[in-house]
Amino acid sequence: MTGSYGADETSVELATGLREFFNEHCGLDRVRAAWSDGSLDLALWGEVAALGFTGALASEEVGGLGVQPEDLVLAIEEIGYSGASLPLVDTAAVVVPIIERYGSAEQRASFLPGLISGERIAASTVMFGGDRAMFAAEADVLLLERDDCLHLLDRRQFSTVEVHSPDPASRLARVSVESSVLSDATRLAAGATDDARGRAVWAASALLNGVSRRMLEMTVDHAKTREQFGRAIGSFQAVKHLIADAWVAMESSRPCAWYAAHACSQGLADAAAAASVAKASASDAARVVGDSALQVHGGIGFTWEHPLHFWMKRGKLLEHAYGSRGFHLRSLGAAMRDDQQGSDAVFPGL
Amino acid sequence: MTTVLVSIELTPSGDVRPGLADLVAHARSIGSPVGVVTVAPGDSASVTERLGAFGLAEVLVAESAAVGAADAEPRVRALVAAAAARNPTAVLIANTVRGRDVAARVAVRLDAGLLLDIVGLHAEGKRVVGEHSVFGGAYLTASTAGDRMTVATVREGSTGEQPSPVTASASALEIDDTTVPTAVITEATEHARRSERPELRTAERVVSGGRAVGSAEGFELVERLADALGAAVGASRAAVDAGYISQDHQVGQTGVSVSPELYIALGISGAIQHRAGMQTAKTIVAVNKDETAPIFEIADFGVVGDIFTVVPALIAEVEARR
Amino acid sequence: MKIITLVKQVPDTWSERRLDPETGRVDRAVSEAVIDEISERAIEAALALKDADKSTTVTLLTMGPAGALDALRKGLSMGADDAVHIRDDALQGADVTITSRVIAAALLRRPWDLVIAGNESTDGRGGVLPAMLAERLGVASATGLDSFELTGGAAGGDLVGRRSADGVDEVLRLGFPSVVSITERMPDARFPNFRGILGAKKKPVEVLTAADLGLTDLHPAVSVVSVAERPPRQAGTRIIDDGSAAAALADFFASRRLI
Ligand SMILES: Cc1cc2nc3c(=O)[nH]c(=O)nc-3n(C[C@H](O)[C@H](O)[C@H](O)COP(=O)(O)OP(=O)(O)OC[C@H]3O[C@@H](n4cnc5c(N)ncnc54)[C@H](O)[C@@H]3O)c2cc1C
Repeated sequence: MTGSYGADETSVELATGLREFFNEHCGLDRVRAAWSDGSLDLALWGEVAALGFTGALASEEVGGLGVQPEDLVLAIEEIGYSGASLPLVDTAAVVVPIIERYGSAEQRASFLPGLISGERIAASTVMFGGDRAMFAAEADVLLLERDDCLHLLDRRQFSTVEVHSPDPASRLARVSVESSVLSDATRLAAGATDDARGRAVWAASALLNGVSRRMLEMTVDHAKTREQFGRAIGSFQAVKHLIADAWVAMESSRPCAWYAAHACSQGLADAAAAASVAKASASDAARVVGDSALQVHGGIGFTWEHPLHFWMKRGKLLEHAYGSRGFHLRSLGAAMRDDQQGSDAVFPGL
Repeated sequence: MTTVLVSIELTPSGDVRPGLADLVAHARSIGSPVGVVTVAPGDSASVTERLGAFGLAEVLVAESAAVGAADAEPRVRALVAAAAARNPTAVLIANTVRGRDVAARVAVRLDAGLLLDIVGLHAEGKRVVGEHSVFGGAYLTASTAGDRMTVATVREGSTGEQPSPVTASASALEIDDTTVPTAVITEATEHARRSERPELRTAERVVSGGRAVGSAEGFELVERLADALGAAVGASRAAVDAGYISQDHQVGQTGVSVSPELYIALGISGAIQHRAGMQTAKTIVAVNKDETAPIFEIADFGVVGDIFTVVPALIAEVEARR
Repeated sequence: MKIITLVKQVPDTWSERRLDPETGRVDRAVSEAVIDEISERAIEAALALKDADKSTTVTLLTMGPAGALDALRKGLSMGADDAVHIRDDALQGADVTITSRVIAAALLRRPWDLVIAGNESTDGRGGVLPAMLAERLGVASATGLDSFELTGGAAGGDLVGRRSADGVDEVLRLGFPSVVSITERMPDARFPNFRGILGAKKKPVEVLTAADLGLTDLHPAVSVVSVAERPPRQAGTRIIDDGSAAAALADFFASRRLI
């Protein structure tokens, strides 16, 4: 299922490559294992990094691949689809490109090579709400948002305390940093914060859309095979409608993530708005898809023997992380109110 | 009657592959079979004697020092020389890995039409028509080389016919030993095979084990049922990949295609690629603990159960009723 | 060492595969076209040699419709250097005689030491093409190899391969130039990494027609005379084992005179 919205050959090929890799290397048993022991699958992380994912958005001068953000959207979706829980979005889509753009020469030299090669893992508090970050305990590098500035810290400069995560395979931690640690040496150049927010949001939207796509696919399979009153439940009108609504929500969300990535890479004026639209619709789609998945499965997605459960929980986490639907709708509303020229300037591209 | 050359494939120890019976049976349906065999110098008589048992009355024997050392080439030369001498309508060669090499080179050298993996052969006027079972038996197609000479590779086990023995007479075939580039065989060992167990390709009954068998030792269970039923032993690719049993037992898309009277699948899911090698069996029986396993879609008799309990009990039943 | 790997695009074995009832050719419209798994392994075998000796070049060669470019792209993204695509509507439905003539002609256009092919494709299953090519080119061949290695240096060395087929294990030795075919016992193909995928587009793909190869009199040696579809099998009895399945099975065997 690949859309036609600007998704060109490169993005389809990268996504297909990743999907084939996950098909082979990240079956249900591996997804389940990550769930039950709750630790980061470092072997899988290493394999995905070796494919070049972590350096995809970095330029070739610093050893990356120079991929455009919009060409990585479908690949990020594949991660959500696969069920692999890895700090790829923060590391590859946010921290690496932000360091390259806003880091000092020293910061670039000391952080980029390890992150691009996958030897080091990054976590980020950007858009995650305050001082929390996904996989912060496992991370070697932290991108910290503090007072509208971004700071880049290495492992000795922050500590973590685990907090509850609705998705046991996506561990969350609260980070604490001594204020004396933050200085000009840790701070990234001006402009980093907005850019990082936009990146975190479109990338999380793409990831979430992948989670939704998997839930929907499982739901359709279930509807086709599960029989009630002597026929497949998918043949009942009510079930068909549920699934069709979910499909519409998901398919209308996917191009929004692509546009947000595009606006980000081109530095368009509506980049922030586009990111908000992307995440609001991705969160909305995830909720609609998740609800219909549960209904069609007759509630079995809630029990953790059923694989749907893994994607449901990840969907719930991502629905709220990186800004919930309400948060992004409020930002959009505020932007419109503040904007003298009205909504045309806020949404020139939509 | 027209002449049909039948290429004889010998194992390193000089045994004749049982599939020769199929080649002879197909040859008979369009003409009179003449065997062509290459042997090491001095071995002519002993080989000829054994070929009568396959219904071959006439055999052309080429002696060559290269037999056993050069791949394909001696057999290719013998067939080309025999074709020149006898002007056959067709040359039949077993569809084995070695047989296909021979067929490929003979077809090019004789500028003949090549029919592959035939399961049937008939004449339509002057044309020789071969029948093929395609995509695991989902289709039966027929093809012909028209006016050209036909070279065909023949699926072993495709006739199930028992030959009526005759006394074979041999005549010598001269082939030259000029050297052309060829692969040289530096070692050859035959797989140890229990002589009482039938060969997979030609067996009337096959018992196959899948990944569920769990280990090389576990395959003994499959073998015991096979022996109780007088069947050959087969396997899925998953079982071969896991090293439970050697590759020549693999049934399926990229393994052997079998069409036995009875096929028993033990702990095999029935992936489309496995089915491609066995779904033309007359009767299919499956034992699998997953009631949704696709193998049940094509099984005449399916048991939803554990192979480790069902199979030992079945062996006991079969032995008790004998 | 210069290696040419033969690649074929086939209907996915996981999907429904059909024959055109008129022509008896594979109906390419109904199933997804994928690079044949055995071609991927053949590419892997070539790339493994390249890994060991960086001066090795790997060229992919396919004969097929425009869409077969996808199969070449896959191989290029795995790490092959360049590709040749023989693409000509006149070659649609070519039999092995034509196919081997065309590919042999293409192989004569460039220097090479080793041709690596799969032992048989999943759609044709003929398994004769590699040896036909070797015959047309007048070189040695070894087919159905489960593994092989190069002995000695690139110049003057040999290829030593093992095969296990039809009840016999063999070791075969041959010089260069030569043609080998490999089985699915050879290692699985590597996954193309992002760099490979992005780089594949920039790698040269030479497109050739039959006329470019100087072949104008291409007549199939074999023609299909009929195609019949077999009715699919039906499921029969299914029982759940409650301890009596073995006896029920034995009864079933007896009813069919199998015991
Ligand atoms: C190009 C290509 C070619 C291929 N060629 C072939 C081929 O030639 N031959 C082939 O076989 N495959 C082939 N395959 C592989 C095929 O897709 C399957 O992966 C393979 O057939 C699976 O083997 P299996 O049924 O033994 O294993 P599985 O699919 O893992 O099935 C094992 C089965 O055992 C059952 N089971 C487990 N424990 C027990 C127990 N205690 N009692 C009873 N049942 C139990 C399970 O329910 C399951 O159904 C090919 C694949 C490709 C892509």
